[in-house]
Amino acid sequence: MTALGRTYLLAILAFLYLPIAVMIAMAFNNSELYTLPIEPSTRWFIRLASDQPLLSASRNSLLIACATSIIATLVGAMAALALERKQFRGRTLLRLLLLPPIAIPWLIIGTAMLVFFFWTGIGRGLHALLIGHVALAIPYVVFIVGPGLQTIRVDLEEAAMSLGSTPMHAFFTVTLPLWLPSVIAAALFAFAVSLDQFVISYFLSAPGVSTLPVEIYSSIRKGFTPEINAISTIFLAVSSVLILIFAQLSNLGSRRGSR
Amino acid sequence: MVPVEARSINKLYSGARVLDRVSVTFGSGLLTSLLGPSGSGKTTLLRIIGGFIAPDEGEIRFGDENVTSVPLWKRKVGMVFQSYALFPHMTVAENVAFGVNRRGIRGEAARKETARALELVRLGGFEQRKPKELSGGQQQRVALARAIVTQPRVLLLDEPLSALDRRLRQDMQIELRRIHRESGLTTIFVTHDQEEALTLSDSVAILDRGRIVQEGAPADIYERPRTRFAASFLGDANFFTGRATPEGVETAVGLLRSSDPLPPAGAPATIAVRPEKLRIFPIGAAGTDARADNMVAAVVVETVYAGAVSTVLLESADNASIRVLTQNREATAHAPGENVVLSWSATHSVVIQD
Repeated sequence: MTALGRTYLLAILAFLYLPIAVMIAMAFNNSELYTLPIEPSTRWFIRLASDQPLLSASRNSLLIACATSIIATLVGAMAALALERKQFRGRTLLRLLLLPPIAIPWLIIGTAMLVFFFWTGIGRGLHALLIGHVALAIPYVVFIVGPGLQTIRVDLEEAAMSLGSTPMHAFFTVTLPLWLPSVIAAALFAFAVSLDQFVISYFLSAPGVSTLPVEIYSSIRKGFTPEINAISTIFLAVSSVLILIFAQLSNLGSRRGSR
Repeated sequence: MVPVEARSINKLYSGARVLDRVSVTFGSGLLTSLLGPSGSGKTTLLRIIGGFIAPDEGEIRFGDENVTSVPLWKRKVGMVFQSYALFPHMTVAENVAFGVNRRGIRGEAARKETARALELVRLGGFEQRKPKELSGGQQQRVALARAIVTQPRVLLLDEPLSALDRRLRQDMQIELRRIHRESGLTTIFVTHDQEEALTLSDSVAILDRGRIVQEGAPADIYERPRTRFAASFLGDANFFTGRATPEGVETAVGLLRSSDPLPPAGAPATIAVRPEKLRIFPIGAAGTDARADNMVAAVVVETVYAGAVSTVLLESADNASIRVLTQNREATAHAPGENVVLSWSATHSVVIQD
């Protein structure tokens, strides 16, 4: 099994990582025509520094991803608190209504948002992109932090309150620290959802104001340049660092909990 | 210390009456058990006293103070949860210090109080452990230390021993008594275990379907149960039903005498007799027990040997089953089919409400 198993594992990893490896290699290759052998160079990164549309799209992408992550996590976590911990009329219906947005094709959501934003006068641009991404990310956040909250017993907060904590203090000293790993996971997921988003962003971008995926798409239509490999490599590095930070955080969290 | 009083507490849960005009006083500095089967409302009453839930009607008083509308975090109660509810992300010391810090005591003073509480529950040296690294019994002690350290006005225990195995439970019962004695706190202990209630408490209140059936010292309730439920839930009992006469109760097995006041003649009446109060005599030898006020003929069905004692199952003339608990002082086993006479004194015939 071991030899076969190892080969199988390697095949999967190759399947996953080979295209990305090629892209990274080409980002550092001097040749514009993807010729081998690779001639190490950083010229595409230098060229990138003066590519205003690509740079501004990158800035927009990061800005919107950060803002989406923060807003969607706050709103989603509070929604999860209400859905898990409070008794109110329509709770089950609300929980059910969170499901469809995950299943509805983005193309349809994007079209609907575009129509709605025009109808209400919100229009297109950065603010529209932000609203769209937040709306898109909230259900994911609720579904990530909800199960995390379920594992935290309600009597922990009751214990804290019986010892003199106000409900607010009990939440922040007892529930939140235990909940934090799934909240951070949700924040990173929301960040990724926003950074990754193309279809909805394409609909909500205004001329000259777009996100990186939209900008890459339009420049590919004009003709592929290795600069795109360069910016993709940078974003890949950023995402990888975020994932590693998260892995470290959640690992520390579980180790602290089990000790 | 102050007494704790519940005054005509009513509580409905989605239409079902969980507590029905419950009034009960928990003596100052005493350990009182709330005893009842599951669904009797005992935990609900405990949670209302603690302020975890609000009653629909009624009042909770700590001494002279009406605390019904005082929120949980200002009520100064100590609670030990069935699940212990220790904070998993904090050490033992941090768990115990939580309530101390909440009272505004920090630093060295807080450390001292924490250490003293852990000493009381014999967990000195465990300060830096995490709850997960402790056994069930140790977690239980931490929960107790955490509740006691704040010097609460009342200590509430919600079936704290139910998660422990039998041996540990018996040790913890003795520990609980000691800790209660040393802390002197007014303590309310919820349990469905009659033995636990008998051995642990100064006083017992029996709950059945949202009502207090009887309250008093364990021995008083055991010797003089007021209802069939109290008699059978706290201990075991044989019941004889019939009609009251001026001399006693006329039943299917004959006239039974009781030293209790009797209902008016002709009214239905029930007599309860504890299994260990009955004595077994071979037929014809009954005359040797001159003090016997009550004598009933029976046939031995089975003897269940349990070391120090045996339970003898018998059948009376009217086919009702009777249980007798005998001490195995001599090796006199009663064989199935043996005809015997059961006798007991009138003081052991308890007239109960059915």
